[in-house]
Amino acid sequence: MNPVVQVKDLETTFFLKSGPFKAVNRISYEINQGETLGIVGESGCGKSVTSFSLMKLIEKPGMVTNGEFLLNGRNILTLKDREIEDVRGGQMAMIFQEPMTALNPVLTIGYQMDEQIKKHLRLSDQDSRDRAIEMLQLVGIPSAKERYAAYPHQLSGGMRQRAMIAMALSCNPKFLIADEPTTALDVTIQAQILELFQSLQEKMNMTVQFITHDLGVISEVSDKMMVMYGGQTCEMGPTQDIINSPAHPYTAALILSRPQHGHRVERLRTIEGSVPAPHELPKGCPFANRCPNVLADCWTIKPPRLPITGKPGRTLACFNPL
Amino acid sequence: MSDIILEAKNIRKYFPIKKGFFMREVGQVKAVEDVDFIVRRGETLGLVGESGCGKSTLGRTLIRLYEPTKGEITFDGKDFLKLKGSELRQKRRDIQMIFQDPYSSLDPRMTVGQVIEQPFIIHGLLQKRERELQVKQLLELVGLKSSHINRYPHEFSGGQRQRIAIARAIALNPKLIICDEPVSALDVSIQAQILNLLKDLQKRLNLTYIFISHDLSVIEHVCDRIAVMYLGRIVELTTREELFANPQHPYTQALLSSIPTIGTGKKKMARVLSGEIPSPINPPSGCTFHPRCPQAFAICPKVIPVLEGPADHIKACHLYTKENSTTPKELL
Ligand SMILES: Nc1ncnc2c1ncn2[C@@H]1O[C@H](COP(=O)(O)OP(=O)(O)OP(=O)(O)O)[C@@H](O)[C@H]1O
Ligand SMILES: Nc1ncnc2c1ncn2[C@@H]1O[C@H](COP(=O)(O)OP(=O)(O)OP(=O)(O)O)[C@@H](O)[C@H]1O
Ligand code: SF4
Ligand SMILES: [Mg+2]
Ligand SMILES: [Mg+2]
Repeated sequence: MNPVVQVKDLETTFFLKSGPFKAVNRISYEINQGETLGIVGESGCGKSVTSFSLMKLIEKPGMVTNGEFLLNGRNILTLKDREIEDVRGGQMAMIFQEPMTALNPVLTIGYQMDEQIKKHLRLSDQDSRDRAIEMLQLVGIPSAKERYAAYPHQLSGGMRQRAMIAMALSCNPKFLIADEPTTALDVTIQAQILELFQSLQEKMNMTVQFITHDLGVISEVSDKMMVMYGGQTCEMGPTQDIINSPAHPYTAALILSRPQHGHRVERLRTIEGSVPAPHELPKGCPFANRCPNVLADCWTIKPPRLPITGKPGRTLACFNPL
Repeated sequence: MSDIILEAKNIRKYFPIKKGFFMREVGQVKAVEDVDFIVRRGETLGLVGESGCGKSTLGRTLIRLYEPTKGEITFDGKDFLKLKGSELRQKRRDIQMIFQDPYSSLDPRMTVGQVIEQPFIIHGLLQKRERELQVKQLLELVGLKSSHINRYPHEFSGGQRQRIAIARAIALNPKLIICDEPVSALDVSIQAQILNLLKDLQKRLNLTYIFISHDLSVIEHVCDRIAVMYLGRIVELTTREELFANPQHPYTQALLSSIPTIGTGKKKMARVLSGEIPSPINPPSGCTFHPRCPQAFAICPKVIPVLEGPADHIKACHLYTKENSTTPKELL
């Protein structure tokens, strides 16, 4: 059986005044039906741009400049505007990192959900409304009936995020892109939302791309994970395997800088330096200027992503791994 | 100078729910309900709790962005709610807030320089040349480059935008900063940088923080004392060590038990708390946690427990009230 999601050599470029900038630089991955791929990486490394590209939501000055995305074998990136409208919100849905990109501030939550449900599920007004309220309840919004009539600013940060989750899940998507879906939520509600994802995954075999900066969450929800840096993939493989024995120096640094419960320290470890500006990116490995393991070659030659011998399912782009 | 910088007494904030053409008031969202606490100079007081429990509303009420429905706020020895005119403006400089959403709290049409300069202009401080100098120093202080002054917010990454918000908050040398989820939108390595920065600034500028977060590992890392909120009320308040070593309120216990852990494998998510998340529009009777509390007993739905106990560890739960402390719960 073919994977539900196949992304091949995806490249997305922003044509800025200062020159073209590849926010996503030739990324490839596959996700099987019912599986969860976790994506982690430094702020600005291209996680959201990758997701926007798959949803065909990249706008000028940006453009997908290479690659394809097959959803159940169908190339999404070549679809016409009208065709993609049918897919988006229906077969494929996205939970946006910033709820206000998905929510219209001048319309009530209920109105916005109804529109989408009517369009994709072709339900009557009354049934759409019931469905919307049911979804708001499922994501744990109390007094769902009253909140159905609320405007986004009348909800707390976390409630807005859950309203958006409810909207994304309302039409039973086959493929769900969740971009930092639980950042505004406390652990108990986060657990409830993650449980909801899992039960939908079991019931409907939903395939999920889950972006988060929380390694704890990645570790608990994903089957395999991809670590990104500077628009590229550092490493990919089964989640537990990577977390227990990271191979890429960036992955290792990421794991070390996490504030850990029960291990309070005066200063948290950070990764020295910062992500280079687009035009300052080294020709070779994008992590070279901050990497403790850097070799002369790293600066000039781009490390190719290759399987790690002896570790099934894992690939790595690094000349001097751990 | 008193050791206490801020004292909040019986703070309550209700929002009206309006309906229909005449906007008739049909109910109230009881976002903050009788909250009492003090903040000591130089400390970091953490505020944790479920999404929607009123943390941001409380923060916004403390800086008088919202007028409280009821209650008293004493800030730096002054009755903050009674202040007017120039005295109010003066005190407002001393209390700043970093808002929850780093993306929407910065005006996209202003350059970073203009954003940070704004507080000086609002308060009519400094000439243009001096302001620019100040802004540059602030940028450096938060780890950005002074050459960034003419860039726009969207040209920065999430972590850098958060630094801009911090620079704006510390511009007028405040005494107290309310940090509302300052790192929850950031990845871990940038989180670490921002948390270290906040700590450094605290030492250098002798700042006091009220630190709002739902992330317990972050709270544990930065806070001296922690208040746990549930449905608009503080249900437990104690020192960091005590809270993590000896959580007493059943809600706090549930919170602590659900911190995701790394390296233990993909797991079946389980609800830590069963039952509906209650609504501040019609909160449950008695202890508002009782419908979800695994330890609830006869008295819980009937009587609202008061926040009490030894001064360094207070909680609002009937398991610990005097009448019940000696009676095993099976016997009630
Ligand atoms: N509309 C745009 N115009 C110019 N550059 C952009 C635009 N959108 C994104 N970028 C740039 O593309 C890069 C990748 O951004 P992206 O939003 O994908 O990061 P991310 O990995 O999602 O980060 P975060 O964890 O902060 O959300 C960043 O350097 C960003 O500045
Ligand atoms: N302007 C408003 N009008 C009406 N209700 C509001 C308004 N602002 C907040 N509320 C309500 O008050 C309650 C508390 O919201 P608040 O934003 O303080 O929660 P929070 O603890 O900060 O949550 P989160 O962690 O999700 O940010 C919520 O029920 C919310 O819907
Ligand atoms: S008062 Fe009762 S219901 Fe409330 S937390 Fe304590 S035991 Fe649970
Ligand atoms: Mg993003
Ligand atoms: Mg909030």
